[in-house]
Amino acid sequence: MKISKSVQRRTVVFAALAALFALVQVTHLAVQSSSLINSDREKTFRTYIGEIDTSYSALALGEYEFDAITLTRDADGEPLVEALPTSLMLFSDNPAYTIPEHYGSTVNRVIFYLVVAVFVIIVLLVGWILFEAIKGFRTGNIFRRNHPVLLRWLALATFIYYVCLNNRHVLMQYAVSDIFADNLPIEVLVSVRIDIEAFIVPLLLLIFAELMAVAARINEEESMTI
Amino acid sequence: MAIIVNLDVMLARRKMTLSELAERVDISIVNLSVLKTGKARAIRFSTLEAICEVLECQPADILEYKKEE
Repeated sequence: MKISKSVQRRTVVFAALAALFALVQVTHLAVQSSSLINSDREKTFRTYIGEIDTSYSALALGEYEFDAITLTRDADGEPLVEALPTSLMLFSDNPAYTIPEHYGSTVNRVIFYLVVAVFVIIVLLVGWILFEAIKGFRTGNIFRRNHPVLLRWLALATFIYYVCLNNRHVLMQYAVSDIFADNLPIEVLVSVRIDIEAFIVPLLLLIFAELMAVAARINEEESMTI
Repeated sequence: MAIIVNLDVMLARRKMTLSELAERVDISIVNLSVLKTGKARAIRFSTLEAICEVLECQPADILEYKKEE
């Protein structure tokens, strides 16, 4: 099947834009990961302790809505560990304070590296699909049997990525809120989040994969028509 | 498939080789081989017309229906 030059040019432009957006996303993720692993900024001003998400209870904060919540006090009665309302951060002005050992930070790092690994897999799969698309447009053989397989793997990787990305702090927050549970004046809700985007994007990819599978079968029939 | 292509029979009757037919019909020998071995999924009327014209035969001489059991 001959593909016109204008269609080939459009495909190359779309592929280049997709690659550019992917590069921006990778850069953004690298900057984010740097701030997550290396919390030098927090160490400059305050001692970073851990994470607890009080944002879910923001509406019920009442008197604590604008002030930091004191979780523990030192021997002199001064605030030792505080949490900012509607924030993720726990901090202490006492640089000698260390949070009790908990499993959350280790699990958090494992989940974070899993997110990075899955993101790299997604980038490679997208690159492979774009390469196959450009090659197909140049040779005239657009729809091939391996394209739906790649899209299905991409759908699975995208689902895992969204779920892990949105829940990478859950176990850490659970562990930290457990440590300070007795001192928290508000109830902190920690739960797994599975947003709708975790389903919509993979489902769209799966639908597209089925369309590509049908197109590949029609293409084979066409090539076997004498 | 229930449709059987008897192209080799007609080629033998007309004492013609597959490559000669391919040249005269202007279809690649690969495609004609696919047709001859029964692997083709479909045939265009224009192709059938060209083959019948060169072999001086009817479509029924080339295509046969045999019910699958």
